Amino acid sequence: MRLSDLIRNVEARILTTRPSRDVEIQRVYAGDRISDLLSQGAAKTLMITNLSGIQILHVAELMDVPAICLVNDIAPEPELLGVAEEHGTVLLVSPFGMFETCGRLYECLHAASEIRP
Amino acid sequence: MNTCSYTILGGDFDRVGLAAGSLKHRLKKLGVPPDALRRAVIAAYEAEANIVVHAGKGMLRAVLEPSRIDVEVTDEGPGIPDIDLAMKEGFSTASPAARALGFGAGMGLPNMKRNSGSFSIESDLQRGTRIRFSIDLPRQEIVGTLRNSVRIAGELCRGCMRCLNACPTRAMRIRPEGPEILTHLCIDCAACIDACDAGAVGIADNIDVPTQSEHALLVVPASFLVDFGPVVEPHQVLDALSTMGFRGIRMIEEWEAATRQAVLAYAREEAEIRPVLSPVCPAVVNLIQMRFPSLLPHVAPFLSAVEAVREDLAGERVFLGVSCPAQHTLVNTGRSSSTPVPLMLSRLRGAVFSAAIRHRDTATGPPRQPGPEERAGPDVLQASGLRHVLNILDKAENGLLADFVLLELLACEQGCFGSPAGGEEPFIARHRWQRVRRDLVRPAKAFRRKTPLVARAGMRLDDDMSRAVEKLLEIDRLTADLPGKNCGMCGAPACSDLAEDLVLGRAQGMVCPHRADGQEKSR
Repeated sequence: MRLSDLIRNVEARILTTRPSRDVEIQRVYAGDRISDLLSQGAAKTLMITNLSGIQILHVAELMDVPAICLVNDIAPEPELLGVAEEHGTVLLVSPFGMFETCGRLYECLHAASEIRP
Repeated sequence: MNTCSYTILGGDFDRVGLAAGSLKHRLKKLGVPPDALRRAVIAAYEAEANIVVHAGKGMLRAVLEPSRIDVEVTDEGPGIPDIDLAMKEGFSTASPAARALGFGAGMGLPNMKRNSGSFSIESDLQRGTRIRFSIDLPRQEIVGTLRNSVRIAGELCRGCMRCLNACPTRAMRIRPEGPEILTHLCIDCAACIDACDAGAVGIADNIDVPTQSEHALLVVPASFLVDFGPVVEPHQVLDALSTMGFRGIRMIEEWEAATRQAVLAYAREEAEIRPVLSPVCPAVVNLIQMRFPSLLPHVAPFLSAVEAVREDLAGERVFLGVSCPAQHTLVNTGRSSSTPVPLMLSRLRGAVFSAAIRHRDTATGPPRQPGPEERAGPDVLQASGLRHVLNILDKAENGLLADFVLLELLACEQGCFGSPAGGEEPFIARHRWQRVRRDLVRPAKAFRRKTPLVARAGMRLDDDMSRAVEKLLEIDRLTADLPGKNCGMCGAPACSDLAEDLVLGRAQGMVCPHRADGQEKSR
């Protein structure tokens, strides 16, 4: 499924300028522990997290994660945006909390039944 | 380059992952397959995060071997009081600040272990923690051909071209990005290493170093004992080594002496061919297999000293100090948990030196007795240094040395005493050893070779015979066309090598400087 379709469904905003239309997402993983994000991160995976430190971008780059979705309408530090832009990682922010963001994504993916969350 | 290391500073949470990232790029460039890459990156990241969260400063070092990636991570403390507890999933002592950033999940060590083939950790409340793990690489997907143990650090190369001329088999090329070794030609001698002042060529180094707790046996070459000048004498080096937690120290010379004796007896009493060639130097054996295959029946059917150690001490935890790439390859090929681990003794140098200085006054060594010069007899020719070895093998091939019963040829000058792994002048080192060898060498066993040595298959020009002939003609034509100066400026040691490289497509960007636009400029 295309990232842009998912974004529309969660009503998320894209914080980076990289075009996201071409990003293909096959899997979503949500977590708040670096170790988990690290071992679950992979290509074609959208990562959802409450964390907003620069570390999540290092992990994303290491594990070839194309996009990260922050939650709760959090306003990330400008530094985070800069690094994301530089790495080419798509950074999103959802207006909802973790529970609802995941719920919406699950529903949308399930309906498309292209992937298992 | 197959070794890389990164310094990691504690407390700098924003930089966690930078070392793992650099490692990732390097491994990717070297063609490490995705699954192994992923495992290596996860384990390296966790190790790095541990240093940042818990320690003041640390170091991550990775070595790429043909069958695996070895990683060693060390830090300066504070050390882990209870390792079993630390290995439990979910147990963490990370600070609240680290936890707020998502660290301290208590998954670091378990994640490292889960993603690596072998994993070991040791910690000391004074000295800090050392973690070693390795990621196995799948067979066949070996990165490049790493049959030999000469390793290149291209970034250090100054392009002086000494290695180009030093290599006895013309295996070296200087490419724009640094030196390259044509591994099918390399005999694992140390000529290029010896020639390189810039440190761009060296012996492969393993990450595996002995620890106090292992109680391993250490086998050292005599050259290491005489490598500390007149300040620290050989028996003091042995004393110093024995304070470092080894179960025992032995010398490669013990097996070498046994092999020598067995080979000499074989040459005098058993062999039907003259002269017999001693297999004592593995680089010379490689050379014979490649350049002088007709002499293979002359080689005495015994294992070299290093192989004998491997055979004799199989199943024990042994570290074997290697002096040259050829020895390293012999120890490292088909390595398993029951065979010795190759060790670069330069890694123990500092510790040995300080221990020896500390125990100087208390050390009581054996009295010095001038031992007899190691001369085997008038029917044995001993020679060392590749230039001489090549001449002698040439003569032997032409049947001009039938007046000798045995030829003992060593690639390095004065044998292993001239290896670039040691720092002492070869003649001095050997002389110092002669003073003490009778006191220090204990008896050991020699081993017969079970599988005969075979000629080393060269690189075929082409699988299709008719195309191979065409290529050969093309190489000849091109060689005749080149100026024949053998200047090396194109990066190949001789014009015929450039011609071969060009015809086989190995010579991208290599141009003969004397033939701009196809015209010979100078004559």
